[in-house]
Amino acid sequence: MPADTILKPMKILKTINNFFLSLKIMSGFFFVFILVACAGSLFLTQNLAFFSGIDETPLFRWLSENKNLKLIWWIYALIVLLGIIATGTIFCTIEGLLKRVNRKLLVAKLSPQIMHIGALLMLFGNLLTASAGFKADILLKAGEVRTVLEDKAVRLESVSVETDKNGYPTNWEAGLRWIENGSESVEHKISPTHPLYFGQYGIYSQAVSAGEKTALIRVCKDPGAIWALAGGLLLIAGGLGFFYSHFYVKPLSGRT
Amino acid sequence: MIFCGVGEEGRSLFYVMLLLIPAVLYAMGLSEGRKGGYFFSAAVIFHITTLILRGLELGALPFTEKHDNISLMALFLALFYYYFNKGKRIKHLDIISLPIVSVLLCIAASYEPLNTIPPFQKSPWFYLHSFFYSLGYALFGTAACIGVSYLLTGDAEHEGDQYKGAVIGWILFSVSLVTGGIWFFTAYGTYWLWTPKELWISATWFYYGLYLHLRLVKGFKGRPAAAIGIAGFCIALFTYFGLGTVIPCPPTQF
Repeated sequence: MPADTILKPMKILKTINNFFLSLKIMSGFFFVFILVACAGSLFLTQNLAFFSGIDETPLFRWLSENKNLKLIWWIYALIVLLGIIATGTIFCTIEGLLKRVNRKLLVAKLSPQIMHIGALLMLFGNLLTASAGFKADILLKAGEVRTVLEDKAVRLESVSVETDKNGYPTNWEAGLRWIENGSESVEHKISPTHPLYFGQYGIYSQAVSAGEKTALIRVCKDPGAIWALAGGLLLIAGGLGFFYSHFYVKPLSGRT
Repeated sequence: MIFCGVGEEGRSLFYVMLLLIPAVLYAMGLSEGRKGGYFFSAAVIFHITTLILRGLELGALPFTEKHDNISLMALFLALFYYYFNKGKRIKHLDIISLPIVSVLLCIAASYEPLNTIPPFQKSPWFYLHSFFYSLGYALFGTAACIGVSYLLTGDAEHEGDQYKGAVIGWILFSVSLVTGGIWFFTAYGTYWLWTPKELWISATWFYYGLYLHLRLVKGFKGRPAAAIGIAGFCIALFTYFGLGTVIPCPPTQF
């Protein structure tokens, strides 16, 4: 076999490796990401009607239904940029973990990689949120049953509102039952920031009217949330390790 | 309630005055010698007292309203200035930091206290989010002030201090984003919305991530890194104050 046929792919692999391991190049992508995110904020504010449904369905489904590239190019750009940054992060993490290191410097070596893994998990969580998930806002009257999905329904039993002396609502509660495959749960109370979880579904109280005995509830399923949370916690843990090792143990060396 | 029989306007005016007194005292902290130290100490004590009074008035931790949140940010900025300055005496740091603290207090005073906490904000996660957000911002501010001092004096040690401040600020900012995400998820069933605010917060987080990475690149340490760090605080300030004023933000449910 000619040496060229082996060397050429090796050269290409090396070029790819150098590309994704270059902090300078990846920093460039970071910078472009920031610029695109800022530009996107302007598109959002200037096209409120167009973007009004973007938070109501998973992002990828919304993108498949809204194809006006002039208005949404920046979302595609953000996705591509995040993909490149994530790939660079994977390369950097693998390289960092493969290096041999003195046990004393273990925290210094591992903490940036823990941060990277945390960031990757956050991105993975966001990817799941953007591709799968469910969200429905339902207005219910007391005693009413509404179907959420094929075999899932919810029944509103009661509503109550607490107000201050000016009549401003300080808290409220909605009592409801979750019905799945025909079997009803016991009555549960939900209030702002105190949702109820049934399996992967969360039920959130958004508003109530004591006079009309109605409640606006939100039923959500977000498979990416737990991954994003795990990633966030890892990132913070790694960050603390990085701070400790960088400022109290040994400074890290420079890279190109 | 601290006041009985005093109108809403009287109470608001009282809290505006309460913030202007430490604002003046911090500015007087620039005085030479011990006198400056006494004024600074008096400002911190008075400032903490105002926050305690606001907490008593609200019946909750005074972190949520902009009036209190900016005041808390200013207090942390003052305390971090003291922490970084106490042993080393970073040249010009007082002239750079203390006026920013005073200006922040004046801005906080311009927001009228509302004294009502919406039901969705009555969550420990929201309080944690606001607390860590203020801490992170204050550290970004302190780091930027140290950066300006470095650019003026050229003392390399100060650039290291700027980096240190930005690193811990970024970690605390990340904590605030995680706690904020948990709060938002428990309130609305999602941890992300496509709003200008969310995009700018992400841009700020990425910008500081960029700064922390660039500092490791050969040739970026020193003046370029210091300038990038200072610009980061400008972006953070714009994210906090510019959205809704310079860039219109659609009304949201929170």
